[in-house]
Amino acid sequence: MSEVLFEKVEKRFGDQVAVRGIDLLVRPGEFVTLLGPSGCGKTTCLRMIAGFIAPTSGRIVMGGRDITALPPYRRNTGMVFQSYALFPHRTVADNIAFGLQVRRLPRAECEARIKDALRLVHLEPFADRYPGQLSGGQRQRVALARAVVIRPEVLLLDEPLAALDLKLREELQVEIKRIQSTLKITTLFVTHDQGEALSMSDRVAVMHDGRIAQIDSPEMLYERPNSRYVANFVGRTNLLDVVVREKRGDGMVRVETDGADKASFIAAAAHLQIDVGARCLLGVRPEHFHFGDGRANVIQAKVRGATYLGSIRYVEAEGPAGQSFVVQVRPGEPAPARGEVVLISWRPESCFLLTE
Amino acid sequence: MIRWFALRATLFLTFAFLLAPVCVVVIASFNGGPVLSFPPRSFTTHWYALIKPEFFAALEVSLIVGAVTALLSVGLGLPAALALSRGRFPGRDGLNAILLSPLIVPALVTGVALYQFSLTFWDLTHVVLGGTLIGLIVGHLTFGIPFSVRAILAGHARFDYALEEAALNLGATPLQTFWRVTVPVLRPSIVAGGIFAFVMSLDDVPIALFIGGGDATTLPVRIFTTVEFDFGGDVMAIAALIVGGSIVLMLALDRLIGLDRLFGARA
Repeated sequence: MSEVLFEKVEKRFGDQVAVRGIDLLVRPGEFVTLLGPSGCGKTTCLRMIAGFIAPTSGRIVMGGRDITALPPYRRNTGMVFQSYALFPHRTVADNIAFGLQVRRLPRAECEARIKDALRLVHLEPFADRYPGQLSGGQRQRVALARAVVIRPEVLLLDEPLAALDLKLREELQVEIKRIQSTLKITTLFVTHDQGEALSMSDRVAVMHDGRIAQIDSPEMLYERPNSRYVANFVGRTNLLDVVVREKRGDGMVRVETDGADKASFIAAAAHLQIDVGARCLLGVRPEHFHFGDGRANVIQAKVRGATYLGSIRYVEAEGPAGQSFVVQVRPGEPAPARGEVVLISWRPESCFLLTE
Repeated sequence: MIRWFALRATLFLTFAFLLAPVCVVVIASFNGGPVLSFPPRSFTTHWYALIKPEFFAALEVSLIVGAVTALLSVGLGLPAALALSRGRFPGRDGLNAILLSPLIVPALVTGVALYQFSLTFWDLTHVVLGGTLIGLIVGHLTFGIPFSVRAILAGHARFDYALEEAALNLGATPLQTFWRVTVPVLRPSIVAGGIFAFVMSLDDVPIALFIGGGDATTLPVRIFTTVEFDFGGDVMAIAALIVGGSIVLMLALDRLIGLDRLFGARA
């Protein structure tokens, strides 16, 4: 259990800047996910903690020790790779034993720890198999056991589930989370899958172009994104261009749309420093829209189509100024027909303002 | 059905074409009648008793030269292959081409060049290469190293660098990583390269003809020179022994390592 600290960490590859001055503190035992599209610098950050690449400038501190200049084999991190990276010439047990053997641990302790690790990932019957004889999910569990058996200060997971199919991915998400909370190990998880990030993490850092756009709990990230980028990357969002018209005493602001129709809405903005006259974006998640005029904010729209996704159904609609909306239809509620003009309403508390 | 039959027939004819001369040699070595008559008239093993001691001495030379060539080829070929596939240094493409060229240049040309080289080398250093085991080994390394490098490069093309990163991450030093991960993972192609070098060395006539001779006469050269004057049953017998030895070697390798694994097709 150690903390990981990034101080103004920057990484350039030639002219390319992969990481632009990141400050980040991962607390002991915390599960932090670096979320972002490929090329945003998230894997570079992870590889700098492991020591495979050195930062161009800045410091990385782990457990109170400056590790910026240490080679990977002196760092005591446990990494799980997307390609599993299991040693093909060693059995499952020998793969797990590798880190213990190079540490020259007594044989008895090695064997006890390997047994524990195998039990932790439910692979006791497979100890003598070779990686080539295992399924993808089993291989990834061996990789996980191999990484935690050395009792690393930090567990580093580099898109460990990307190569697996959906069902297995969900199973292993639960498994990884269970192991992480059993061992209470500080964990950095890299993924481009927002579902994985939201379901597993204590905090999620959304990365964009070498910077952390927002770092927050999954709930805050989803309910109160701080930028158009985060709002669009995490879940679906309806965004309206608005101008602030009035600040009210109860933490609410009144905003107006920019277009000719001048529709007026109320939004919660207690957490924002915002001035009258400022341009901003009003964001509403599809599931916070209701059909009908039962709530404080109402807008008229024409139904353009519908998408059925099994557990949920979306309706696409067009607003008076040509804005497009996505509305989630509630279970049991009839979906309006294409071409129908409907009223869409939402509560002031369930929308957010972006000052960007 | 017709397709199945055609496939089987083609397979049979191919094997017959490849193996018939070998079978003829083995059968002829047991022929009691006049040499080179086929089919044999009577059965005898006395040709085997007539094999001259110089053939066994030549076999010993061949095996020593082959083994040393194989070991040195792999020992020098592995670092070369790693440098070629991982390094970014000036002259890399040139080195690659040089390591490929002995596979393109006819062995006879290499043999002449080596002969010339051994004379020049003697002029400069008064060290004798011609007719010595060291000279033979140097000669055979000219194709042994390229063969090993090619074999290891082929195996290395699918190497997952994450394996080495995983080892470093688990606390292995770069040297431990090399011996415990890189070498074992590349072992099938290293062994294949070594076997290639050994077999090529055993098989070589042109280079051994120019640089060998005297105490450094290999078995193929001995057979070659003997056949020129005296084509007897003892030559058939030694040829049959080589066939038998090759079969035993292949079976042993298959049992010990697995031939499919050795040549790349592993799970």
